[in-house]
Amino acid sequence: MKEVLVNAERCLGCRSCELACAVAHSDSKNLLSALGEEKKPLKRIFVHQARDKKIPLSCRHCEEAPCVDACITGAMHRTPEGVVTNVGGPAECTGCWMCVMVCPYGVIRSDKERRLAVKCDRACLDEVEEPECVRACPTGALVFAEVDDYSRDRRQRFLVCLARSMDTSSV
Amino acid sequence: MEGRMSMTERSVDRATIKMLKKARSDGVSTAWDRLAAQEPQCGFGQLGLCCRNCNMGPCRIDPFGDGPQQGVCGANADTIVARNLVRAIAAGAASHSDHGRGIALTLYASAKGEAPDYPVKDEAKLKALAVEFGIATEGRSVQEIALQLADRVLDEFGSKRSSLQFVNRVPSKRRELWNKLGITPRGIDREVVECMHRTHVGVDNDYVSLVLQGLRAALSDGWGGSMVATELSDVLFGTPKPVRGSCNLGVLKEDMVNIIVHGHEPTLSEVIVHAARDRELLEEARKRGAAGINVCGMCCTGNEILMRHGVPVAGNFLQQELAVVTGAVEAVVVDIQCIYPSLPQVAGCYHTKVISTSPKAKFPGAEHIPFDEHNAVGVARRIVRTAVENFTNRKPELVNIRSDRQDYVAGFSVEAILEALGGSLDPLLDVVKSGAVKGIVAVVGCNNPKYKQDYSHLTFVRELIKRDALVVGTGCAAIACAKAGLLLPEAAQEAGEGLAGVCRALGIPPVLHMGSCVDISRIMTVAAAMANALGVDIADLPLAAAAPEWMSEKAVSIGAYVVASGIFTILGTVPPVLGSKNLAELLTAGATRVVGAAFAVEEDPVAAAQLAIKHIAAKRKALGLDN
Amino acid sequence: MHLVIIGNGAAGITAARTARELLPSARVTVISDEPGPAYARCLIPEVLAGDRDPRSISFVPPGFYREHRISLLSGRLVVSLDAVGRRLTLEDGETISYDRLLVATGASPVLPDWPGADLPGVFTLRTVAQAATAGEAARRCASAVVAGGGLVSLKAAWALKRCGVAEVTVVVKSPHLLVRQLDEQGAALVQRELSRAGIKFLFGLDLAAITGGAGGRRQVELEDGRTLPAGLVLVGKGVRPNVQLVRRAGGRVGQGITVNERLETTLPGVYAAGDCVEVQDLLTGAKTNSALWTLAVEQGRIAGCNMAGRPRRYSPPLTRLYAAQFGSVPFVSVGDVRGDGETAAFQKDRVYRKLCFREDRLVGFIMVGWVERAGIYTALVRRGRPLGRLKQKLLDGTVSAADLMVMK
Repeated sequence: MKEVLVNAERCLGCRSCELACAVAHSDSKNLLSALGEEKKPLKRIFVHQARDKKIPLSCRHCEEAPCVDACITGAMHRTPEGVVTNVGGPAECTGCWMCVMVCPYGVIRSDKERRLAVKCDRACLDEVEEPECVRACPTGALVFAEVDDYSRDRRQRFLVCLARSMDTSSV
Repeated sequence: MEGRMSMTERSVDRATIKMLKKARSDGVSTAWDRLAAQEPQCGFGQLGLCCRNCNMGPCRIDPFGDGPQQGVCGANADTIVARNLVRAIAAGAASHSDHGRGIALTLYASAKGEAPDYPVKDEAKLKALAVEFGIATEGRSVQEIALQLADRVLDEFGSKRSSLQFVNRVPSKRRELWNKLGITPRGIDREVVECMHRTHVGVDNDYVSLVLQGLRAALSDGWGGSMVATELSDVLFGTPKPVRGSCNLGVLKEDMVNIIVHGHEPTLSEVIVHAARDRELLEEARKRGAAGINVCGMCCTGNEILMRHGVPVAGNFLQQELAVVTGAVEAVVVDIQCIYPSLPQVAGCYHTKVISTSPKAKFPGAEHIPFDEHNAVGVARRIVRTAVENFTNRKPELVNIRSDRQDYVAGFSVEAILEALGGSLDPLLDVVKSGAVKGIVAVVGCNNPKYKQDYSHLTFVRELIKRDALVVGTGCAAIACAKAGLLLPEAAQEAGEGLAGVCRALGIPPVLHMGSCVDISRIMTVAAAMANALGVDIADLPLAAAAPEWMSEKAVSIGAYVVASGIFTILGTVPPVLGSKNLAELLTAGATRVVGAAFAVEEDPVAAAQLAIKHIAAKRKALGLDN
Repeated sequence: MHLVIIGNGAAGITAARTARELLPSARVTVISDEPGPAYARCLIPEVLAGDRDPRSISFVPPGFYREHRISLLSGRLVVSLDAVGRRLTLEDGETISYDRLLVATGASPVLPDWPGADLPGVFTLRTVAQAATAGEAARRCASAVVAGGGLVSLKAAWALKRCGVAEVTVVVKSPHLLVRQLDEQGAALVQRELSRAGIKFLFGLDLAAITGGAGGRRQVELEDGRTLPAGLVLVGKGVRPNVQLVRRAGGRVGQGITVNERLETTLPGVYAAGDCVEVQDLLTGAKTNSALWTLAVEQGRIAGCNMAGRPRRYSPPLTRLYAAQFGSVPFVSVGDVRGDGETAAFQKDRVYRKLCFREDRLVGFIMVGWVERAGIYTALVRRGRPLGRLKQKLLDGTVSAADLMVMK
């Protein structure tokens, strides 16, 4: 199962992912048209800064998602594809905010007008099955990858750095 | 990442498509590939909601109200978008006006005897301008008149005067409106500087105030810098008259030394054309097995030399790399504006040399041969020689010139139009009044790889001439029409009956090429003259303008001065202003209330043509025509 | 292997689902004393209000039991448990043998022994059937009294208003609403919203008796002697865990059914989960009964794992986790909000936040009117790490998960 994973050292805080996420959840799916929509689309990915580190935060689609446990209606569920969402499930969300209360990443937000919990629903996969936030990221900070592939890639990069530093130190 | 667009989606021009295929197989990346790699482009930028004017930033405004609504200094979306727009106008106006200054300085040097390669070619025009500027001409030499005129014109760039001479061509109603709004341009450089000042952090933060200054700066371009460039270029190089030539990549010749001149200053291109006729150099070429030296233009400098001499033009903005891809170009000689910094990279895949000439425009990877008006022909000869010597380096296996080539008729300066009409505007006014010609639409501007090359230009133009609107064109838009054969008198068969009849009677095409982008000032002059003849304001005339594929900041300045002068202008590519509802409203509906004309944004050229035609019909009705 | 689960609620269903996934070949049976598939108990106020049809609040998709091969015996009451013989006896005499048993019998609402508490028109609100009946009755009433100021009572009062009951009075023993969840300031904001909807409140009082039979004018008598007309009386005075089965079988019972860290009772092979168990609060260490949906789900999952032979530990939970919204006022209350240590409060317009600290750790918080990123606060309460500079961000409401990542 692919996840949206972050190379945080590459995040420039440009917020292109936020914009793309909002547009992907608009009616028209187009930036310029979305501006004119009555109901402003809501982003589900959030770029925050802590000290000097910038990082995009979005739903982790947890295996044992606290939000699924907390959902009193059964709306929040995990699909066979591994997506945690309160849309298209066996029941409807009633906006009780239990999920908001238990999500440790704080990535579930409230749509007060519609009284619905709003979160990343992976409903935005494009024609090459890539989420819009990943596609929008100009630096490759966001990647959509199998977890093990991602880890292996990081190990590789670390080894390359290590090898380089060993080379120079031996000289 | 390879472009998501297929080749045929990139252009309607077969020459372009063929060269794109060759570029791909030669492993050359083009503007289209780089655009694809840039996508998705930043949404904040697209909306104009990014501000980098100070180091408290950079700041962004969230267009969905879900994040910050103010920059650190407190500027909101209206202020930020307006400031960005004004800076774009300033950059565009500066480019045109600096070019105009260059021409004026050349005339000045020529008058002082310091530029022997630039004699005054059109004395009559010189004298006419002198009269306009209140300079005496009786019993004075050309040098004397030219010196005083150049001196007076250069004064227009400063701060001591508070008005521009050419503004007096504008109908009094419009001038009064400008005075009332406080947007009468004062000094050509002054308005640009004030734009930069006002957009500095903590100066002008009211979007209406900012836009008005933007209009004023644009007017200092349209009735200032650009007009100076046009008029004085006519003085130095001759006022264009109808002339025939050919265009598109097929003008390159396999058996000749091909030199492309690209950029904007006729001071360079004219002299290169001249130097290429040098006997010695022709002999050198022949020694190397070339049948001759073939100078072709590209973009606006191409327009300058085609208007005056019928020099072939190899293509428009999006074809600059593709000309090199033919493998048959010995040198691309460039000066300023609209030249891709990728050219040396592209040239490096072939034997082609890129030669830069302007101290203001250096290109990493290009050979720099400094060119100035004091030693023009000498340097030009050296440049041509470099190209000739490069002929033997051609790699025949990489040569592929397609035969796409079309003839054009160009050279419709104001003077040429008047002559074609028999010396006065009346015949034109008559056919407009009678409705044989419903109105006049100016189609100008660039290409943009975000849109299918030339598709919008050609579709728009064809829709208009079908409905009896006379089209006047400049810049890359005019070259697009040239490539499609619309600049030939024969193209009248694509026109409606009324327009076709007029074309046949006068022996003109339904689309009149009026020159380079600074030559939009020619269109302004005609508009002003028509308005004055009818005793109305420019805004009352059945006119419209469009930039269907624009991309440059110069285009922003042009659009602004055309609207400020009272002409409805349609933009075919979306400008970065939609991040501010208020600003977008001001530029569209609001502008009509303020300056009597407005912008419209319409990406679909058919719909855009409807807008233009509806607009013209409304103006006709208001004038009491068509009753 | 026969796994039997008594109870078709959050814990029971989650355990059944979990066990089925881990043991594809086992037999799984769920016995429920209520009819129908598992339903979302927290939605019954909406059924009362008439906003939801009783059949529309199913917690599982249609075909759930069939797909997961779970036998559902619904509407059947288990009356005794033989832990040695591993056998259950149902009310109708049938016996069921098991290899492992999960007692997820939930809790029952408390009905104080006021005179008249057994009259028709007096309801507790625990099952969907009660909600449907009460809803019907409410539509014919001009007045209703709700006893208790807790979540169930207030949701019921709101629902009664939606039914169109003209006079709805909530009688609260405590000085303010939602004493378990909110402090005075927070409760005031919620009360304001409820009052705007026309609900009346009386504080510091309890019911003394209910009088008037069917046909007679039903009334409620208060402790101070006042009487209120009451076509309908709804009692929200808390719940008591259903421990009788286990107790009679010899299992230990404290604040609820006593379980170890594998959720096993003192009866071998018998597990318990959900509203019926006793848990130990993560923060205070106190043993308590915490009837929360989210705890029940988690316990159900862990009990299901343990029943299926995959040992998993259940850690002491936060026993206070509340979130709801009345009208336009959302609120969240987590952890220890008694505020007997250091506290910090933020109030602006209709947004109120109170944070409770102990030794630089967040131990509880209240949010009213604005609940964004509450989960981060919850995570901090769970984590128990020293806050340092984060305190101010918590108060301002500007904290994000990124701050947690850079915490030492």
